[in-house]
Amino acid sequence: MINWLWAFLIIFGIILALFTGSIEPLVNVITSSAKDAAVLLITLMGTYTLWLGVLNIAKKSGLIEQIAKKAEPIIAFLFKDIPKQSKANGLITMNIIANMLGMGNAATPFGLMAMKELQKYNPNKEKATDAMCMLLIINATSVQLLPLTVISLRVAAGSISPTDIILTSLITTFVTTLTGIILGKIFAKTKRLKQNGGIKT
Amino acid sequence: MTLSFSLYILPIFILFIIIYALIKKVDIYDAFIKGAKEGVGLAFKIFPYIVAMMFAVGIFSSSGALLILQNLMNPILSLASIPVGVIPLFIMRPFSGSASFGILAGIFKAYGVDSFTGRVASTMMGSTETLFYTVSLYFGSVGIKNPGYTIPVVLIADVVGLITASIVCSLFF
Repeated sequence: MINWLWAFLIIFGIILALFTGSIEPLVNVITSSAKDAAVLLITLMGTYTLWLGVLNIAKKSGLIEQIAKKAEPIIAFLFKDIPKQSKANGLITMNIIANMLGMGNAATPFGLMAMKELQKYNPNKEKATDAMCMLLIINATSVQLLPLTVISLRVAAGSISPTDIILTSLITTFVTTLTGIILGKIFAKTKRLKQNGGIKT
Repeated sequence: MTLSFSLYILPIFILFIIIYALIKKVDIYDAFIKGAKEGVGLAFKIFPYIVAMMFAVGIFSSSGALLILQNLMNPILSLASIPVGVIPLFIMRPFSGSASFGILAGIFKAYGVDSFTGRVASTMMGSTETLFYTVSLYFGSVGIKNPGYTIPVVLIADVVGLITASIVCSLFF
């Protein structure tokens, strides 16, 4: 699937640029995208290193275990197929908390470490499990409580009330995340039904 | 008010973790270094995925493909009272966070930051994330090639978000 998406973006983009004659921006993007990625890598390396260091302090102090215990009912409902003693529970909780607080830079390394744990329980190492899909859905539908970057951009654009979108964003985020969770649960259930049906017949 | 309050979140979060660890008698410096060592490897591991995604998204967005998608979507929009101006943002949002911020800034300039379009765009921006980047990063880092139902689910949620943002904004403003 990622295969097709990637091919589509490149083929469609290049053919369209050839037809419309916007070759120069195309060539610029091709040469600059790798450089931009390298600049991003350096930034990410710094933030990941910092946050994984902080995360390990929280891990060693037992804080993550504590938080994971508190959040267990929610996590257990959302991620049905993770064993209770798995490190993934704490990491997912930290990922969601960091996302809620708007610390995307911290959320990503937590999420990636959680992914690594989830992969241990994956029978098919190339196909995402329901728990992995759910983690992605929650990350991609955003659970941020305060959209800080948007607010600061509104301030910069000279808004008379930069913060009045907080409530509308909260409502919308709630609706999108809930939609994602419900759909994810439905997809997981139909997939399971199909598999069970396949075994019986 | 809200802005300055939220600035406190990050330092307080770190302060809490450090003090809690000291109370629990953790060798915090050693723990930090041990954890931090994984950061470099993690960043290198996801680097090929970042290059692949930035390369493809860059080609796609520089080609004028957004314009075509926008024209295709216009008739659907007028049905749901969604402001046309937010569509470039809606299309770019799943692909690239930094590009969508550029588009958001453009919307503020073109329609005004406190216009209806500006507010719907702000609401949308604050309520979704960059899907394809997240997918390639998270799944790529552990070698998952088949993302299952993740992509359709999040895309549907994004459409629901676009409609919700428009409705909620028209109720509030």
